[in-house]
Amino acid sequence: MTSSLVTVENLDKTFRGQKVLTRIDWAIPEGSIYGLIGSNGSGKTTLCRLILGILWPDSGLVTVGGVRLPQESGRARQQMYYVGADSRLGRGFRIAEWARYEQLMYEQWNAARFQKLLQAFELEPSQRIGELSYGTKTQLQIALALSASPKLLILDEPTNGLDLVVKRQVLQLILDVVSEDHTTVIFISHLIEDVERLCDQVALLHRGQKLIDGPVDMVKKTFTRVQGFFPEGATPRVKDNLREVSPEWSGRMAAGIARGTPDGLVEQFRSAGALYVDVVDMDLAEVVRRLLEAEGYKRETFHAGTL
Amino acid sequence: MKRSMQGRFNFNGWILPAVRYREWRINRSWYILAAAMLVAPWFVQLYNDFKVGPAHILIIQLMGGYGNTTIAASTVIAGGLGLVVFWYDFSQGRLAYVLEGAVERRHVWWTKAFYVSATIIGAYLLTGIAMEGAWLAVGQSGVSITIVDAMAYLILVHLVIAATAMMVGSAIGNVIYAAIGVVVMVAWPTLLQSVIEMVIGGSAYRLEVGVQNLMAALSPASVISNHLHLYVQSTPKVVAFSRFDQWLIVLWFGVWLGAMGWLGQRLFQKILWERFFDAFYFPVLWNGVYAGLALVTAWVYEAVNGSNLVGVNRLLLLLGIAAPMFFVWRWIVRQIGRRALWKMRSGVRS
Amino acid sequence: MWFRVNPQSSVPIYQQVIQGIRQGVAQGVVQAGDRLPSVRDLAVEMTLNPNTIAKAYRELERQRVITVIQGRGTYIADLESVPDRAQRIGLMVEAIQQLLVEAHHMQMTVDELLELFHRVVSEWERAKGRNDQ
Repeated sequence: MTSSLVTVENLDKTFRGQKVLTRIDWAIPEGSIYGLIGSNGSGKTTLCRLILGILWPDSGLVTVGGVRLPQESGRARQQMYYVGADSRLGRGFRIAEWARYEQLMYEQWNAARFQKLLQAFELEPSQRIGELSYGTKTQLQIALALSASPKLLILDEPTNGLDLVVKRQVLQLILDVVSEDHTTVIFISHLIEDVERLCDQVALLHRGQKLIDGPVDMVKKTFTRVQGFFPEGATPRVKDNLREVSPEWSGRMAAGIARGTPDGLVEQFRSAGALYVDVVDMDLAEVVRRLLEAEGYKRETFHAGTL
Repeated sequence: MKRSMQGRFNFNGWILPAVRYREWRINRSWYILAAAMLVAPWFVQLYNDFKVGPAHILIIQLMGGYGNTTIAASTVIAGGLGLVVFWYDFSQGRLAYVLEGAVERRHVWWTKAFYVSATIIGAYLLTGIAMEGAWLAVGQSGVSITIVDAMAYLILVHLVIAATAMMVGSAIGNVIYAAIGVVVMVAWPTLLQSVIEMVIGGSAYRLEVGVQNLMAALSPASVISNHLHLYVQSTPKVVAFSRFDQWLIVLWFGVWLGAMGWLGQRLFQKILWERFFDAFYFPVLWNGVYAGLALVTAWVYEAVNGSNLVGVNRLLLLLGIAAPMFFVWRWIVRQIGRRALWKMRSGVRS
Repeated sequence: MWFRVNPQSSVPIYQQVIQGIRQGVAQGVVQAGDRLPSVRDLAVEMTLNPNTIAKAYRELERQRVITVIQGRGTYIADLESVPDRAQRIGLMVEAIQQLLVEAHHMQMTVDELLELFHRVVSEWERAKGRNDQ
């Protein structure tokens, strides 16, 4: 694909003696919408703050646009905008005042776009930020972020606290601007369905380590389900033959999970006498669940489709 | 990239319009309040003295009688302003998160320094103008150099205190400790001298006098209190204060201001971002504080109990007491430091 | 849009988009020469990644289902004779086999499956008849 906007090499980060990120290598292709998923405390937000340059790594390298981030990286943050749960919005400010601050700050500020987004979100410039609800504040942050026209937009759980209708509207407005500006996006979410819908790339963090990353379709292929359909009456013998694969049986049908290429399992099913063998892709949530389970992540904390 | 290189010594490189706008919006109440508190006593006194009867003596009364008593309070105000601009911005202005934007720490530091200086200079400029007006109103001709001198001196003194407070306030995450830190910073040579005096006792009188003089000259607190009367309490033309000494003091204060500015900005730039949520931005440096407290405790303990050990044995005893005290002090200081109210920001998210 | 996408399906989203558009063409919902929304508009409307839509459009163009006229937009192409007919019949056989597996899971007999097939075909024809008018 195209070149990388952000590269992270061999990154380590410790908070008070506790390892938060371990040997992270990551490349974010320019123009991609990159999903970053992982359970609470897996290091997603920390990784993003390292890319922003406000956290400094213990060791390793972060480059943005091919340039290594200096310690004072305010200049580089002209091109990066982070929207997170702990917002920087000043509570005593009116919306118009805060917008003035950001307009003075960002060289690529798009005032017309900001006006349009305010209208779309039904925000009044005279409203005090401290009096806005959590969801409205999120909308304001997104309006500000999109108006700053960054090259890299980092959205850390941007749809938390939004109802379904508003969430859809917010995502649509983000997509509209992102596809107009060709913005690169890091999209952190615990809703795997949203990640699947919006992202072309995905990375999974677990306890500070990156378990997998790459195009969503490729990550989905980490595991495949192989189904074999066996002739009537043959099952006892076949079950015996396939013991080491330990497939799940339902009637004459055996289903096994293959990691990586399914060819080996397909071959095993065929030689065991399957009439018909089918390879079925899995959805992302299922793949993520299996990856986490392989790392010892507890099943009960994992609800279908969310982390 | 290009602009930050060019802007190294350029005013705009240090103060961005956006940061200036936000700083004023967040802390404007403090700046206005501080300026009003610095100015108000002078105006009240000026008004009262005028009621007594116009005489040129009143200015002298004003300067001598009033400057002397207000300066203690006004230096506290200047120090408080230097601390509050950081504390309030962290707790109410969410400064840690603001740094996620396209801001650099040096911009934040120098913008605050700009407004703090402007507040102090503005306050005494206004006071000076009012006093000169009164001076002319009571029939004197020309500008009073005494008033100019006094105001220039007051500006310098307050800048020194405020800059010290800003330096300490931007490097310690707990306001109470920062306040103690400011006092220690301003008076450290005097404090050090007291410690030396305690340790060597009366056994080295000659050394002590030399040390005392040197320390008094180095300590901004001593300089301020020793020379206050020469500027503020002096009647015009009565005391011929040495211009040479005057320039030495200006020079020393200038060096001090520069050092505080440089050090403050450097320390503020070096704080790990995740430390902004702690009371202790530089935990390693605090070990020095614990060690100092432990040594003093050990020394006091030993003095009170009156051991008759000498030489190496005495030293070993001191260290033997100091070692556990180090951890005791560490625990106490940290416990107090954790009180959320005085922290720069309460609530932690990593 | 006349089709929906289920992001949680195991079928990649760009393939669902391809299927959706091809189905629309087959059912006559859209016809040769009709204009399709731009990549950006379709991405926004369906809240899907623009790169995914672009990938689907590229694939559809390769399959000659749509034509992209530079600067003008994306249009449904004229139906052409399909060159790799044998290969596509192979794909259909696989699809039918999958149906048989599915039927087994649902404990349907082959006759029941065929009956269902007939029912779907006649509904399809009815729907197509409506769209043609």
